Amino acid sequence: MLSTLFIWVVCIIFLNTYPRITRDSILGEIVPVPGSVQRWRSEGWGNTHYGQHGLLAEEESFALSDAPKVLLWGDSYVQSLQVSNDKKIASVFNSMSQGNPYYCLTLGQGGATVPYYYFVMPSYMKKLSGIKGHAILLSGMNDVLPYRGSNRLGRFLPAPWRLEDGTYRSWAGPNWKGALFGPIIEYLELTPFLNLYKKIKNYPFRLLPNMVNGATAKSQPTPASYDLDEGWRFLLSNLQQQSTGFFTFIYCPETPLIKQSIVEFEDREADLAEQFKRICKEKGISFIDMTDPFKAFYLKENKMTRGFINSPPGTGHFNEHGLRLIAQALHKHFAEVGK
Amino acid sequence: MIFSSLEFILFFAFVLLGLASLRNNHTGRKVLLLVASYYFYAYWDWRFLSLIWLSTVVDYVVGKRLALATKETIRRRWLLVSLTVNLGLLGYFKYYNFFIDSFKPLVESIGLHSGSLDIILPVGISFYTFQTLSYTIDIYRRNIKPRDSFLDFALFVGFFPQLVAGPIVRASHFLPQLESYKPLTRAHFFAGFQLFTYGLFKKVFIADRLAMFSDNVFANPGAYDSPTSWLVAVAYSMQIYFDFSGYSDMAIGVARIMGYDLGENFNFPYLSKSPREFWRRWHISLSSWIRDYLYIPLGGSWRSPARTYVNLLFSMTLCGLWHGAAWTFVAWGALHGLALAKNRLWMQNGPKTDSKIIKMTGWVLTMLSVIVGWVIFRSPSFEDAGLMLRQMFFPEQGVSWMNPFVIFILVGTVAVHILEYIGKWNSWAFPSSSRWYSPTLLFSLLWLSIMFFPDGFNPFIYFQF
Repeated sequence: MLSTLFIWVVCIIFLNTYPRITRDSILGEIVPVPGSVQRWRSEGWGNTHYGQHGLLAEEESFALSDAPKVLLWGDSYVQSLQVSNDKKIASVFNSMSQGNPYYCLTLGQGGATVPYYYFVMPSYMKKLSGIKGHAILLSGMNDVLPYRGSNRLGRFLPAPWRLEDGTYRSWAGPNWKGALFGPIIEYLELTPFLNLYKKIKNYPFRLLPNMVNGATAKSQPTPASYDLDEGWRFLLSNLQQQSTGFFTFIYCPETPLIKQSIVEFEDREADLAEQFKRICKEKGISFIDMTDPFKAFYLKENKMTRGFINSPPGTGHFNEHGLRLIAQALHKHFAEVGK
Repeated sequence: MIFSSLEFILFFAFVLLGLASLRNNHTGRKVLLLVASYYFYAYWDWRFLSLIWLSTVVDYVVGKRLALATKETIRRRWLLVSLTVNLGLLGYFKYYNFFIDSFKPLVESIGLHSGSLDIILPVGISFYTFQTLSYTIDIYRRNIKPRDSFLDFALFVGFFPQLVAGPIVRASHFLPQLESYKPLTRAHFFAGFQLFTYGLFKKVFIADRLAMFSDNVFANPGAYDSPTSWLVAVAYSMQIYFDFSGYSDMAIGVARIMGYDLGENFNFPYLSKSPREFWRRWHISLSSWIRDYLYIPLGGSWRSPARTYVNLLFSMTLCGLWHGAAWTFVAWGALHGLALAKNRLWMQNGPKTDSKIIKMTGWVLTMLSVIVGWVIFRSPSFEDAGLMLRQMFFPEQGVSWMNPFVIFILVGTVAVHILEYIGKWNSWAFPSSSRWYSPTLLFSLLWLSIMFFPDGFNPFIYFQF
């Protein structure tokens, strides 16, 4: 009994939690339950407090007002569960801008790519007032490449170019077990025990004797050939149809990273990013490239923009330095260019 | 099958049920253990069971022949058969590619074709070949008599708790235990479960989490600053200790639950004040094997001082090679050989006093050589080891990563070693089952191991040897 109490306390301090999700009655989209807290410990050390409509708790006040605002879309790099609310991009941006010219609202969804934002965007446009534009963070070029999204969160596919919605948005809500036990598990902080149960349930048991090196790699289907310029024109035109506001892409390269014992600054996706930037320009969309700010920061401070005290430097999600640099770049861009 | 898997827990539960159902049936229990042991090994790869069977049959027959033969030349020939078969298997499966790749230019210069082969290293081959060799060598030396029961001998070779990563149990220690019936008792169960839990905790909670740090830093040697490089050297020293001593604890614990004693394999090696003491505390079953079956036959310390140093260096270099087919392992062994030789020189020519300063200096120097040794041991090449050592001793600019978990484990490890040094550890950490906090302590460790079980498969480091 004492040992169970001990591990319960340890888990509360040191393990991740996953908040319940619900369908927002106003937006009609799936969002974390308002008031819930997502604790993240496996990488970084953050508590994310959620408010209404899946936004951060701090953003509620100006989200529901007519104040001019920008929606910041992105995947887990925008969610940035690894840090607490005050260190996330939008919070840092808002503390710098104080609403001038805009406030920024966080709309991060782990694993999402641009197709997901495309399908969710109209809901926010209809229900929130004062939205002047959208900033979309690209944590790599995968976010805009075909085939890279998931069936769950939407996909961008060629031949013919199209955007497919994911299954996540059509989720019907928790089953009776989820509805009954969900609040209890969350209230009593039993998520780690639930995760353990799921882990054991999905454990790949094998009881038969084996032969090593017996497996052969499955062949991957060959993707259809496509013209990326054409695909991106399609993607951006469709995105622009979803909102009357402006669009800004923020491209964040993998670099700097440690590779073969040296700190590497050369972005292997630089050519793709440049190609995408050209199409953005064609469509009147701004493109912020974080390659140089990240490099300059490392050279000046000898610190990486990714990685935490409990995870390898230069890998994983953005730490508070990386997030601050992105917020600063966004703030500078809006202050200078306006959109 | 690894001890920290759910399959093993299930497997062991069935073995215990089987043993319980064969109450007072000594032979039945041994048959069950042998079948279970072969299943345990076949779970990894059933094809390599044939190697264990070959080793078992050959050494059983050789043991009998050695006992029957009276002429020294014939006895030597039979011993040679055992050595050739066992070391031949080990050499082919573990070292063939290493030697071919290492001496390729030489081999090809004399007109021979050489090419490496796609060979799978059978798990545990280094352990069970040494174990069976100890049997034939001991019979040859007339230290023990051959076993009449083939079942007993086969169980000695294949006993699943120690089959794949030791401890390397001697025939003289284990075979007599098979003569008597081993009842399943509550005392054995508690003592074994206690050891198993500590082992699981060391492996899963400590070693696997330290690996997340050390694997990343060792993947980029020279990229991190000096404090980080030192921290990773210390982290790996702790990782390999907790990983292997954790495995040993689990193996010994599992055997103890069934009533068998596999001896001790680790005894706080990082408290050692000399390299000599270190090898009496680290991987005891291997170091004593090397001493008894390699160092002493070479002449040990009874011949000239120069010969003694050569014997030490040679034995430890082979000990390094036993750990893996790479020159970094050879260099690691040679480094320990040199440290042992230096230690011997000091013992003979240094001051005879045993002051606190000398003890402390001895500990610092021993730890330094051990830590530097682990850097060479862990690095995939000399170049990588050089980069890591350069950052440790001649620092250049690099990225900093002071991982808090590693520091926490380091502080905890130091505290545990201090407790052991002042003689409190055993009474605190291994309380009797009647002490009030005993179940709380055990189940807390178990819970921590379960809740913080790392995702993905993390094999024991010593499985590769």
